[in-house]
Amino acid sequence: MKKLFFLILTVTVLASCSDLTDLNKDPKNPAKVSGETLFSNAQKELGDFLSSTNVNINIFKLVSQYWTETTYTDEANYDLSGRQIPSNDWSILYRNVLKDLDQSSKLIADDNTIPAGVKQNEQACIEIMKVLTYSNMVNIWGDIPYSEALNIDNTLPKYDDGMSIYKDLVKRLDAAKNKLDPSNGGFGSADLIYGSSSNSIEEWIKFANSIKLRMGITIADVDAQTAQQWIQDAAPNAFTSNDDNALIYYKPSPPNTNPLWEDLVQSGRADFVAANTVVDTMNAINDPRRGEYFTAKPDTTIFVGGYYAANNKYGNYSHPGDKVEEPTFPGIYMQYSEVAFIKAEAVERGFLNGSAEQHYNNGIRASMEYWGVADQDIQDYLNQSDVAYNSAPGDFKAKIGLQKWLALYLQGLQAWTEFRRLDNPTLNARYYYDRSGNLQQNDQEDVPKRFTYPIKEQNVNTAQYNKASDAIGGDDVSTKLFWDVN
Amino acid sequence: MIKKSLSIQLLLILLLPAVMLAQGSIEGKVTDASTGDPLPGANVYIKKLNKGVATDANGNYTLESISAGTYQLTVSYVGYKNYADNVTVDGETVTKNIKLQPSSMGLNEVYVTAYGVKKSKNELSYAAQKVDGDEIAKTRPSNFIEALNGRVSGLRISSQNGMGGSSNIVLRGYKSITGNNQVLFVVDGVPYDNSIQNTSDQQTGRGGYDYGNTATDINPDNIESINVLKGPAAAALYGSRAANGAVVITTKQGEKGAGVGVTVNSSIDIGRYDPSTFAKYQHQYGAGYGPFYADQAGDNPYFFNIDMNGDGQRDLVVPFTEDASFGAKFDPKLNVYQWDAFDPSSPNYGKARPWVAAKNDPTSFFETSVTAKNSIMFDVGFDKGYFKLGYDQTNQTGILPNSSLNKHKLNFGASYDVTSRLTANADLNVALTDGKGRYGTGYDANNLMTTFRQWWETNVDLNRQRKAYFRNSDINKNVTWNWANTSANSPIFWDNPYWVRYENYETDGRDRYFGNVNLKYDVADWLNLTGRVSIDSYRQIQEERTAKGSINIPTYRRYNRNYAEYNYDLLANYNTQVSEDLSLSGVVGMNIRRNHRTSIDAQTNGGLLVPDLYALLNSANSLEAPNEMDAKLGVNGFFASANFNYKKFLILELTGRRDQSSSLPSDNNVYYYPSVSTGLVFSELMDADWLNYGKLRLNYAEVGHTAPVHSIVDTYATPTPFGSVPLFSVDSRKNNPNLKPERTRSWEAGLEMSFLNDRLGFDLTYYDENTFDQIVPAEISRATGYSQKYINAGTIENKGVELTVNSRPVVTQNFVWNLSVNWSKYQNEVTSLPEGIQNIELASLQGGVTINAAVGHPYGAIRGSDFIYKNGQPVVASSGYYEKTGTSNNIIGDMNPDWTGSISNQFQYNNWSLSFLVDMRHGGDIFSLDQWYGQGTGLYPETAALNDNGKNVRDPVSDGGGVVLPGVKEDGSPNDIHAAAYYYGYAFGWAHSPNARYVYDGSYVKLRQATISYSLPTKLINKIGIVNGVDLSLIGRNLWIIHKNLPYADPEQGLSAGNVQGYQGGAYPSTRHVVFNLRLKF
Repeated sequence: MKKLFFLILTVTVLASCSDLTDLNKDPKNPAKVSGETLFSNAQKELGDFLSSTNVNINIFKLVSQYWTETTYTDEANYDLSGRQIPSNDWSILYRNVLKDLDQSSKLIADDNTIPAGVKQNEQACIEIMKVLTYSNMVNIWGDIPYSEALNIDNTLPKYDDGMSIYKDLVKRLDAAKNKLDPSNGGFGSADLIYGSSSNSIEEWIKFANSIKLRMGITIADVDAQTAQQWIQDAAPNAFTSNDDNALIYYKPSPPNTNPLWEDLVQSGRADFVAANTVVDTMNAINDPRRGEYFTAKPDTTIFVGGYYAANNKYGNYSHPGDKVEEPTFPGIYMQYSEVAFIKAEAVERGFLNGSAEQHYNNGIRASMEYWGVADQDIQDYLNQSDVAYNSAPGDFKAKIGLQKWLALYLQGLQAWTEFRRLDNPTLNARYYYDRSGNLQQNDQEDVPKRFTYPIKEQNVNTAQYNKASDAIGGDDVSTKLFWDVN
Repeated sequence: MIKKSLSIQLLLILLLPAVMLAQGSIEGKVTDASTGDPLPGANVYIKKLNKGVATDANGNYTLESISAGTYQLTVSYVGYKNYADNVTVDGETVTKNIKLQPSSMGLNEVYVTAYGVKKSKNELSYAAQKVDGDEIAKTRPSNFIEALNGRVSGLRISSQNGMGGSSNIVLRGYKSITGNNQVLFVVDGVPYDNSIQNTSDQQTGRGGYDYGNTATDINPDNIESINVLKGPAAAALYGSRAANGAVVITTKQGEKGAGVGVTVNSSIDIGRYDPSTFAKYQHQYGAGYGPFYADQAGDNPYFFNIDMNGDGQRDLVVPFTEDASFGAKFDPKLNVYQWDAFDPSSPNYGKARPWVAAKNDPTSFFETSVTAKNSIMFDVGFDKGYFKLGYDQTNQTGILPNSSLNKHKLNFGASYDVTSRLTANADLNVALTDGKGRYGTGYDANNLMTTFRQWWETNVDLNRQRKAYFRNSDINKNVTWNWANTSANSPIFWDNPYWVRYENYETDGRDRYFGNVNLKYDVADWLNLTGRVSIDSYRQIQEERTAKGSINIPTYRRYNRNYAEYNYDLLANYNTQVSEDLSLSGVVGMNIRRNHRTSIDAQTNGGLLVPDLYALLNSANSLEAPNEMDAKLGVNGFFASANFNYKKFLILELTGRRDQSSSLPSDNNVYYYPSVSTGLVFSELMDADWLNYGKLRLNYAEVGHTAPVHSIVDTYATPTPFGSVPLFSVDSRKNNPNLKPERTRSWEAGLEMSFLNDRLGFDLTYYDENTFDQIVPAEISRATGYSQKYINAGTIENKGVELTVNSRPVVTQNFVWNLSVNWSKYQNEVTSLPEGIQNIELASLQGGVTINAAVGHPYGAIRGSDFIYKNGQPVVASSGYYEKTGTSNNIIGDMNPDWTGSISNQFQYNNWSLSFLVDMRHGGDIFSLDQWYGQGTGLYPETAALNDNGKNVRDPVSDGGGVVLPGVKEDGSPNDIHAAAYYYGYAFGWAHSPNARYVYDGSYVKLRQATISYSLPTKLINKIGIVNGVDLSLIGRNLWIIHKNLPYADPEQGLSAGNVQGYQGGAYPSTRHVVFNLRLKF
């Protein structure tokens, strides 16, 4: 029996001597991947974020009053805290988009199998995606962590001033533009935006210039000189047609469908109807995109929008249109029509020479063509006195603001930015019902001027959060962003 | 039953010795060891011969006609320790006088401590409390953990009310910020896995099923005793996992030379939901959110107005899309088309019905649960050893339709003396569990409590829904009360409740194998060696279904999980007398632990192709890659203890352990943990009549904790490829190659005293534990590109007091009253977090509240939006609604109770015994999502109550209606503004209220258990023959909640076991159980 003990003793001692650390390897998850895959993922994450109508993530289609809610109207009433929307968005943009871009850049830099020319183009594309993402974030919150962001060794990053971020972003955008060389390849099929284009690098150059145009016009009211510089530099090489549009072509089956399909169709719910704000406007000017943007009211041929922010019976109003409900409906990062409207405004502001009317018409036409409106209908629309540039009511801000808003349908975030900047069109004050079932309306429109910072920032990055909050004039939805001076 | 006992009889006949030799007799007197008083009516019994007798009025007994031989004589008497000794009969009369020790104080009671070392209470120098297996078995719980409730001071158990739901088992409060805070279970010296089987979605209220915890695989009938080792000092020898304390379970062992014994235990358990823990509904208003539905002038705005019968008149149609009851006032004169008017199979198809409250509200949904539990234990003791066999079968149905949980438990144990010095032992257990239709949890369509408590129409009759489901089940149509539109083809938010139970059910199974083989060798009188190999392993499958036609995406999901832990132990136990006054004992040993977990989780993508086929191949779109997990952990430990005992009044115990763990970086993976404990039996030094016993204890211990597996090296997340484009993503958690072990330091002091001939005694413990260098996936600014980073930082301090009082207020010849009280209180504070971080969020939950570890606050701070206060009163705005904070960052509650306690009474009168246990908790906040939403949707009576004007609060303020919310106006004067409450989102519920309004005090007083049992008198049993004991009992569990502050729910309900507590959403009512039990001993 003693032998048995010695046997057990030997076995146990042997077992204890083997290398324990080997046990801690994870055999089921990758520790090494190629950098391109992270770039693709970041593109998809940003595309999903911009397209989504999930009330936990993207409520910009409500805020810009394209849509409103049916039964549960918290988000249409601008409730950000109930679902911690700012926290969710902050996480998606920093963690899922920017961090993947950042890591993609590092991995590509270290990858010796990629030819130098391709590598240079890839790094430039990554920069452009980063600039696009950061500029969107500044437009949501104002000051954000930037110079100290994406550094795991600094878990308490400071917030940078929105304007200096903008300027640095444009510097980076210029550098990236200069790096792009169409004689070399890029990400190829890993590029979900231009991967299928015959010369994707040229498209990226146009995309970079279009982003620069957008950033330029955004600061036009606060720093006209810089805005003019940026716009003059970028205008000649920006998008020239819908063929240049930056889109993501979703797949027919989940989880790679347009996120709209998940919330509008797959969920089986009936949460959203067209808002009366946009439908009334389109009705007034016979906008031929109505039938593409929305369905007619059930069992009728008319378009009726639900009262913004009030309870709306789904069956009584127009809904998001059939195209919008397709799983493969493309997600939009930026379109040519926006470029045309920027140019129109730049002409009005004296930043560019040329005809504002021409650009204005180009913008409307591009949007209508994108949605498949027939040529004749486009022409009829443009000929209406309320639409024609010379006769449409209001100043250039009102004319361009209205048509740009109509063209930016589904691009809620950008539409909200333009609305805040141009203060046009006039959005509705929120509606509600009184006891007798009579519709009432608030005294004034109170669309948020920005999003509040995530509560998580208050808790885990307290000191920097407090500084940032002071710097912008209070972490409140009513605090105007630095470019929102009027 | 009859069949069983017949076969047992056969066995007995075969096994009993057939040859009778010379005969003699045994006689003697049974007395109280401390007072010398005779004990009448004590049972004196020889198991081997199946022969027993009761003592007479003077405590005397005689057992006659005993064949020559050596027998084990056992004596049992209420309130006294069982006695057993061998008596040799050689054809003459043998006198055997017996002194019984009172059992209530149990100074000589044997405690099982770390690594199976047995000690008398006298020798313990740290806090430990023992529960007899009988106490557990007697209450016939389906889950033995429930029966521990209220029996051990400092041990907090909250069990989820779902069938087979998980139990949160925490000793002395929460210590680890994000790690495991559950106690360690040890069975016969071997750690026993008690993983919580629930997904993180389930634990944070997003939906899913509560699969319970795995310690429930232990057969309660096989438990001899449970020793709870409360602090690190007691458990330090077990290593890393013992920092949270240990529940040491000893199973029943056979007895050498005891002959044959058979016990049959059989019970039937009837359960009904407790109405005080379920919603009550207002019966005045029906479906809708408010007057929103008019399309044209003249329409009734509370209804859909549609011409249903083609007469050109617009008819009233219930707003069936609306899952709320803020609609039209009931009025039997109104004829309204309801959901069934759209169901072609319904007798009401196309017909209107009077507008009245439902006759069968959701309370009619609950069924009676029935649990049949039968077990047989069979043991044989022979000269050189014993073996035992046990089988337990439990068949349970729940209070929801189509739910069942069946368990089979087999155990085999054997011991054999190979030589006089070498003993071979084996203990093998099999536990098979099959569940079907466990209750859905969280904020999900498959949790019907979410519907019934939060989103419901008071006009919907469950009986009609039931009929509608069964009428249409052949055509797979989900006839819900909540149609998406008038084409009535699909639901909008909620399914027919019966559809949920009969179509969207889960099934699961777990096959568990647990056991050990060991050899014990007595090297010398003072030294023995034990070598042991043990295995704890199970395979588990969980299959979840959502049928085509449901509101959730049709799905089939299967989750397979394998668990295995192997322990190899080598132990040397020594016990030596150094001098006449000093003894030294202890253990030296090593432990090799290997743990391996694997799982695969696969589900269909985007729907099912054909109905009723729940297989992965039935996926509507091509499958996404399943999630695979493969995690190994290895710990090598060496340990030793030395226990010095000087003259039995001064005890010093030293322990030390060295662990090396695989989950820490290789240059920092060794850690040591020492403990020092002392005990002073000061009563030995005093000569005081009033004091029977007094002991002081003081100890210090450190325990190390290893890191979770896979927290050193980073890996990438793998999203589903975008078409043919592969996607990878940086994981949201940054791992750390520089982690070091987490540590707990604890001080503990205790005082035990007993008085009045041991009729009254107490055990008081104070402890202070600090868990520091915690390994936490700390929340960091998302601007870093990560959500979390693994670091060593953060400290939680737990200070607390535990008190146990035992007394026997009355002891007479026929009657004994035992009274015991357990009380405990802890104060818990997160004293530091990683630099710059003030708060770690443990969970972000529906309703906008979070559960947090915040610096300077107790662990488990509830954050959310708060009232604005003036002079301590909530401020009401001029609208009449509460003002609330702009952020939801305010601390609005603390999940920790102020104190917990229990009172247990046991009365014994001859063969009758009555006991009851009252369990209470004071404090401990709960945010109720059920009230947050349910008040907002107008389900509860408050939302349709009469106000101070005698008008319904829903009446217009101009008519005297409206509600005056308690609080003050902005100028500080008492609020007298009537706030309109005529539709959802106004005076009640989520829209205008701060979260703080729906935080409740979780105090309760519960009659946890009451038992009446009767043992057939020995005389009668002797007449019957065959049988040696017959016990009948009637048991009630969770009979009565004597007091609580949380309306319409059981304050003990949460989401799941785990660190996220203080929150209720879609809570199940508690179930009252009445059990009839019959136990037969042969």
